[in-house]
Amino acid sequence: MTPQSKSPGQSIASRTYGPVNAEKMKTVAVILEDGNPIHWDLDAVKAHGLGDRVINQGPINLAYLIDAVVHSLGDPGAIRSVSARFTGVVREGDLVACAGQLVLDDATRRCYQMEARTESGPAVVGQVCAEPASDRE
Amino acid sequence: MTHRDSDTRTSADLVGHSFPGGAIAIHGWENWLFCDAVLVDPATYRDPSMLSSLGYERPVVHPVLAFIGALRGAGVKQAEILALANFDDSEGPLFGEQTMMFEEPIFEEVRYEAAGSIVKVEQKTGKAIGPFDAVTFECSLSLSSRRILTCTAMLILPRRSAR
Repeated sequence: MTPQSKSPGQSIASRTYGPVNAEKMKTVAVILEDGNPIHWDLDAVKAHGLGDRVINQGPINLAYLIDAVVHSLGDPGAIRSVSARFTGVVREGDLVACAGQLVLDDATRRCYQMEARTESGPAVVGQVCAEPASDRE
Repeated sequence: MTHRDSDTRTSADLVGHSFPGGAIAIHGWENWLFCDAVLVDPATYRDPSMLSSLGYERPVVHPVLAFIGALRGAGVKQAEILALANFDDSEGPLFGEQTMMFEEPIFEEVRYEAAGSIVKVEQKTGKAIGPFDAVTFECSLSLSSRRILTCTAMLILPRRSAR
């Protein structure tokens, strides 16, 4: 994983996550101590009129988006800021494509405008700023 | 945790409500499990040779798990925040917005001081979900009183009974 060259407007390498696995949502429900049953109980999903597949936790969708930047930079400790809006849902079986563009590159940081989306539309949009180790040297 | 301790509590009462606070270290097995659950190879954050080449002395905690750790370290569960707002997990809360600011990475097995509070409550109406409360909380991790991570998250609490 080699950091990309720095040119504002340059696209970040797109990464796709999934198909989203309902079993993984159960693990995150425990880690997050999230008792919302729409993440594991299909009856609850239907009762809320949310379709017929369980729904990924928002923080998982955000994790995909951040990881796309981490993977592109090749540096897990580079992330310095994240500002994200959750704009849609991701369901069991979905593929989540994460892509974005470099929007700011100054002496200390690179900022990327990112989007994580499914076939249904965007699920998370936001800006991720990073300071890769290669820039700190 | 579904106890609703005050049906008379107003939204304004929640602003400034501090969480108990405390300390937390995020363990390697938690980081591994979280990475696996979010479809990321745990080696991305934990491979010793990669970490060494980048100058990190310990495995890096996934940023989203760092947020979860800050909340847990602050001594509060999501369900308890919902209960403060007279809401229940089963009513379908949603994440609206989230921010994280890192001064440096959060590392496995390092003990951080944690704190947090509710910083904003707004009552809004959305086209899709109708009336809802937007509850924003902040949490942080510090090391020797130096702030390392500051997070905010806005929970959307649909008021289905009000529709």
